[in-house]
Amino acid sequence: MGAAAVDPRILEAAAHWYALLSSGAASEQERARWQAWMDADNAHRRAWQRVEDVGAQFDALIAQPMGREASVASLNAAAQGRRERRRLLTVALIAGATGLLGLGVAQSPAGRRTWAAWQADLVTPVGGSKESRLADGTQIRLNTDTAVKVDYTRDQRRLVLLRGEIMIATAADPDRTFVVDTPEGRLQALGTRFNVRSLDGETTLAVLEGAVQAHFAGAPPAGVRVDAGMRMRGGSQGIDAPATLRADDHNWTRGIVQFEEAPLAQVVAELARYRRGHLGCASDVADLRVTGTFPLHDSDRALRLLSEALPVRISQPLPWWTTLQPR
Amino acid sequence: MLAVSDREHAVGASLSALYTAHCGWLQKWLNRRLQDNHQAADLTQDTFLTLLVRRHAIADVREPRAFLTTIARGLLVDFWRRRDIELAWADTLASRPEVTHPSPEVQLQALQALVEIDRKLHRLGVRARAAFLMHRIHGMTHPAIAAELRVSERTVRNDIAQAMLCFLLDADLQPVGFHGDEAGR
Repeated sequence: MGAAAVDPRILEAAAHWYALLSSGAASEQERARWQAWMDADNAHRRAWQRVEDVGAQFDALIAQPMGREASVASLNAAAQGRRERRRLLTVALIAGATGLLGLGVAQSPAGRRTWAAWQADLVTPVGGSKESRLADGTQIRLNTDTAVKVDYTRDQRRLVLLRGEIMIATAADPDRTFVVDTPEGRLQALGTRFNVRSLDGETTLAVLEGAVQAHFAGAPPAGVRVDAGMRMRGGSQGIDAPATLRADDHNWTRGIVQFEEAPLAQVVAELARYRRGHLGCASDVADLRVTGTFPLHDSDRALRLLSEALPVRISQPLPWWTTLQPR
Repeated sequence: MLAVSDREHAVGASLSALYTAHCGWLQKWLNRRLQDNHQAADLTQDTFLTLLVRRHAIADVREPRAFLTTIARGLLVDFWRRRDIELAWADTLASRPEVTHPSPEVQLQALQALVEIDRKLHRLGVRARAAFLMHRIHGMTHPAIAAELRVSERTVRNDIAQAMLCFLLDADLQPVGFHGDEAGR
């Protein structure tokens, strides 16, 4: 037995409170009821302490690069192996149900993401960033939570942006074209420095030097030429015509993010890309306007700055669960 | 005091009798499942070690073979779990440039955590398990998980509560590394 056994019914209540609070759908009244539940009984507090301890068990996994992918892969392998062995033991009984998780994961977007990272040659974790020089001298810089496959052949230099964001400065090579493929399209460099972001089913191209020929689904087959100082977006929502480059298309390479009169929800969504765990904001404060410059790799400080400048407070019911609430 | 040491003596005596009578048979039983004599020998030792540590009243056991296989099966499940996890981990590592590999200590820590997590979640259904891992490891929101699994957010919330309960209940079911045998309760 553990040091202090807790009534299973209390543990069940704690588990349901956890699920409710982590859903982001809890109302103020529900939060108050949770607080009252906590205050009502020491056993409730002990049960909640266990909830918090569960978070710590995952920290060793998420803290390191490749931790999430390798962890999910390993846990799936264990479940898969168990199912396969069970099948061998009871051959006909559950033959139809085996391998479901493996298949399901390979087919779901999150799973594709997992498999994607396995194929990647260059990977950064959430909050990470890295610079690399490819075989031909091309400079590539990876932003947070990014996976890139490098596919160089005799005829072509091809990068596949599996997810995330990269800044490229291509090296000259008269014999081989240079392309970046994303799930949404193909970008062909015409001697150049450019940024590509693939996020939420949308690719954003920003050209700083030279030009890029962009091929998106639904665009003219010959592609659209995007010159230096211009940006273009394409994806499931259709394509935008090239427009003037914005500072936030490449500010990340300086480790900062700038906003002018941006809704808090947008600021929080941007900071969340660089932060492990959940980061959100309450709907009452989502439309507050934010102007300022924030550090990308110190989101705790960025949040403190926000809580000083705006009528919001940082709420952290769980170590990896952060929301901005009205003060 | 005398009574306790008498009892311990009895446990020791009956354990050694049990060992002599069934060690060879148990090792064969394990080897049929593992196809590896070394591992089978190790797990045979572990099975008897488990009995020693838990100080069972072995003299009362009516069907020693059923009793031993129940315990051995639990160890076998743990062994497979550990092996599957270690292999998948090594595979993932092999597919990445060596410079990105975490230090051996960090890897050991992660592997231990994974074995524990898998042990705690092993009774959970496929969907609830997936929902919890998406939530906890990939940091996905409930609506994103619901869309992913094509279920309602309410179902996701229930799944996550269930998974959390597996962890919370587990703390009362130690000792570590052992689980799931009715004979032991």
